[in-house]
Amino acid sequence: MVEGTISEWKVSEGALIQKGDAIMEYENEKNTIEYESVHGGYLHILEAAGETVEVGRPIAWVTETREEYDALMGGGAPDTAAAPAPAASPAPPAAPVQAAAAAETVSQGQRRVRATGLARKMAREAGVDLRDVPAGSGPDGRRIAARDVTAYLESRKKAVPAAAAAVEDEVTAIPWTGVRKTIARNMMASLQQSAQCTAMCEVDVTDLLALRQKYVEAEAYLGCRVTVNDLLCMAVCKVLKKHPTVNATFDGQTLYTHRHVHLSLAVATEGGLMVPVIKNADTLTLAELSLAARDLGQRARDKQLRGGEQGCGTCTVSNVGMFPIDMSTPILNPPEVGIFGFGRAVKKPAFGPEGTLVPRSMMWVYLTFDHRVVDGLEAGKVFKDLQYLLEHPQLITA
Amino acid sequence: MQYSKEFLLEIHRNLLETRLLEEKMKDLYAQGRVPGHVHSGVGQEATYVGTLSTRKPGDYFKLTHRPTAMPRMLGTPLEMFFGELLAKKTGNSGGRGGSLHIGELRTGVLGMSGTLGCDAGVAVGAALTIDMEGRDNIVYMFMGDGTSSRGPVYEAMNLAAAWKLPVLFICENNQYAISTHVSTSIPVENALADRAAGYGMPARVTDGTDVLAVYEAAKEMSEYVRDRKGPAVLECKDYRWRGHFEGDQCAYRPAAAAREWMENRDCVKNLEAMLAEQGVLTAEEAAARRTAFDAEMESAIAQAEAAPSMTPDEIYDGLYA
Amino acid sequence: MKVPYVKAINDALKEEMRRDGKIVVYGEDVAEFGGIFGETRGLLEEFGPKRVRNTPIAETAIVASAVGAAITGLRPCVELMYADFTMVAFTEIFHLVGKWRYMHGPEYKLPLVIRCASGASNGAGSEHSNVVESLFMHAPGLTIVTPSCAYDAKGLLKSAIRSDNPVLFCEPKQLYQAKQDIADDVYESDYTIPLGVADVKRPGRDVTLVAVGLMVPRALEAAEKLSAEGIEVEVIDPRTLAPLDTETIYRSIQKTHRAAIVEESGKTAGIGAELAARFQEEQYDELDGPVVRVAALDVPMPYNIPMEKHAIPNVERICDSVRAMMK
Repeated sequence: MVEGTISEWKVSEGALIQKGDAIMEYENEKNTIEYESVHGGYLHILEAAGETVEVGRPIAWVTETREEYDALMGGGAPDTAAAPAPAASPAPPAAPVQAAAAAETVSQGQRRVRATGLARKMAREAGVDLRDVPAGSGPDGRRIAARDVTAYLESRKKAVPAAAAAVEDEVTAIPWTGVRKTIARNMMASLQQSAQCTAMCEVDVTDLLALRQKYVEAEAYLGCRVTVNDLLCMAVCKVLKKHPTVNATFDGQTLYTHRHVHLSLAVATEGGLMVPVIKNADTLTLAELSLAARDLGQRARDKQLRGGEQGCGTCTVSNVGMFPIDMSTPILNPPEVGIFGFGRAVKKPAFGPEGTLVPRSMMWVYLTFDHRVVDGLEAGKVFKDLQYLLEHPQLITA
Repeated sequence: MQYSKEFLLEIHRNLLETRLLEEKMKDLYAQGRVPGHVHSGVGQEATYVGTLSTRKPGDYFKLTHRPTAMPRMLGTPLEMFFGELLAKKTGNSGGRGGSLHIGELRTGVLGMSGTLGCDAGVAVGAALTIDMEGRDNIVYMFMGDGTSSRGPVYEAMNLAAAWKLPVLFICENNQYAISTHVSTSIPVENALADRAAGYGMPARVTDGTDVLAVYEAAKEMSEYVRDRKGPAVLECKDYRWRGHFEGDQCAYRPAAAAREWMENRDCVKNLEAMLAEQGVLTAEEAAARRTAFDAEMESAIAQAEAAPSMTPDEIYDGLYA
Repeated sequence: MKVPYVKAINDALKEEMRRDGKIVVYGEDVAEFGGIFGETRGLLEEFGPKRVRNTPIAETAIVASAVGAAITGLRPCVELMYADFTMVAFTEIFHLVGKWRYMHGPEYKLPLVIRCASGASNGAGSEHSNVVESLFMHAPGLTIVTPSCAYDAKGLLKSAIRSDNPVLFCEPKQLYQAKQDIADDVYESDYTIPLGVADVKRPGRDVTLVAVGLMVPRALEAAEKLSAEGIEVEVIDPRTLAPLDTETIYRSIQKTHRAAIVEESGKTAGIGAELAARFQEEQYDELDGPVVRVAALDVPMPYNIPMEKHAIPNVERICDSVRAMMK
């Protein structure tokens, strides 16, 4: 974490707070987090809700006494050196959070932009403010390199024709910060740093849907409403146990295969894509898996995920079945080497046993894999097993 | 030895002009008109004038910084000499070398290394050219007693002897390496002459304040070298009248000894006394020569001061051929 | 024909000596012995004892006499045997050879060549393994040449001998026996390679690798390996380190936007230190990352052969450095 956005002050200016009080909520790249004060006293707020603040910058003062608070307010805002020590002390929002690297290159503030000479020249010639260019492809992920500027210019170019076509245009600038920025960076890095290849096949899920209906009828008994996705996830776990090369992480040098499946779930939220992880998913029963998926999905949408619930998966499932989408080419979630995708189920005419046409529910199943690690043969075997399982759904829980 | 009147008058002219140039240089320096340092060679003129009076056309000379004025005797025009001293483009090295790096191939002056003794080998290389071209020439390699302690001198002497090249190594022993007296730094009486035997070279030691004595010794040694018998050594004993550089108060040596050399061993005064006695040159004639040369110097200095200096856009010129 | 580097040196000397009677060759053990690496073999027999001379062990005299001979009309091509011994004559090379013309005037020409065998080989130890170009790059007025293959060695030595400027000519010892396939008619023609002109030994779009001497074949091998990984390296051999052909190098940097220098000398204040400084001063806007130096470790060259090999950049180290630049 390098910066956070203050979502809400839970106490008002000048309030008397106790050490341990939840005084503020902030949003980082992954979550919304409650901040508990490490000091007790009178609060003077420096950064209002909605501000994005880099880690380490004071956001408030806490004075021990009311007199000190009054002096602070009367005497104007002191700088750090002139603060009424020792009573007042800054309360950095990031204190309880893992320390992060120095200032990012992108900000609306005065922070220094780190960029290569070539990147600077390109920006100068294109009339681009480097502070608008997302960084992150350089060796340390912090210096803007030429490819970052190129990517930025490309993205701008795409936006321009649409804008030009409009008779009366209105442009809204949306700062791409927090979760959004992280997603953008991760997506780009994923594509640039691995050899992604997507394979697909169409599977007959008529029986699977029927089986799922049976589970829905048993909702009261099971204590949860099983979804198609739950069954698909369980099938994926089964397949991954058989194909450890896909249940793996890769750092470019070493491939790490895992005994258990830590299944990442791609969850679309209003705030952007979240990928919480069901740990040891292969050890769960269908009902346990279903409950875990529901819980994580809900909390992802509510921005209530806890630390350690993202970024530790061994393979991802992405389901777009709720939309009129048959197929997509998912982007890998590094360092994972595989991401399964499931399209919508569609009734299609199929050949019955005697050559007659019968309606069957068909679904596209696809897998993006890192071709540096997984070869076509392996991917083929994965599909063979997955298709077999989905077309013989009673085996999923066997 | 019998000398013609012309020869004696020529010796006197060179001795006197060298003296007057050395004095003029220190005056110019005192007036702040000369960059760097001036190493006055007043009192040491006879060693150089006597030795160089044995030269022949086509010979090469590796001079020293003291006396600085020697290129004059070898044919450098006065305005060119002062041009170099005053760092002007009209100097014999375009004003880039200064008094420590005077070179003028036209007159056979090879150049000088400011790191003393490193140029002894340069003299040997010039002798190699003479050898390869089969010419009847020699190289005069001058050094001081201080320089005679440097290793490169002996590598050069060894190489010259090994290849039997025509180099006359001349040590002008003025007894001081800056402030260090030869008695405390050189374990033999004759700084270079006593070491010549180590290279199979003959050596002669002579009074460096008696220009004719120097000439006679130099004639003998230069003929040995010119006859291609191998390199040889000549050592001339004299005394450095002034400090190492202008401004050096010479607190490290007895003033009485210096006075004694200046009063009794003044090569110019002694030669003029002899020439007056022999009727070759009267005191009036000598005085007239002084006045005439003074005027010549003043005119040359004026020309040199009016000459252009190197400009910043020329600073890289001449780095490569 | 397959031409060993040392034969190219030898042939260049012979061809030039036949062409110009002013050329003399001297140094330690260059006559009867023919040089300790065989580089002057046959010269005494063909050109006689006046033009081909053994010297005493006297590096200062060898260099200073070459200055004296050169300014008076000869064209000496002298040898200092091990490059390490240039340091014995450091004053002479730095002050006399480099500055004599500038200090003494335009009529001074110094058509002289100082040859030396440089670099590590087979545990020669710390005083017979040095690479000295960077020491002398600080000296104005010197031309410094380091050929990396037989073809270049012959063409460059001929140009060095014909140049009116003094040339320090460094021959990497480990290359002496390296053979290069050169067409007979090309090799036997009177070709020369101009001084001060770099050579693009291999074109590439991703990284500019400026490699010197022994490092050129290693850089080329590294480039081959990296190509298989999708990284295209442009290998440039400056051939002349002073004056440096920055034009060719900068043209490459303007294409690849990444630069590294590979050298056999130590990293601190080495060739790469100077080149990297110039690159960032003059090509800052073209660089898309830091200029990288791949150089020998800053230690006296070890006597132990595996340690000697460890101290000098090898193909793998070059590859690793380039890979890191591409991250």
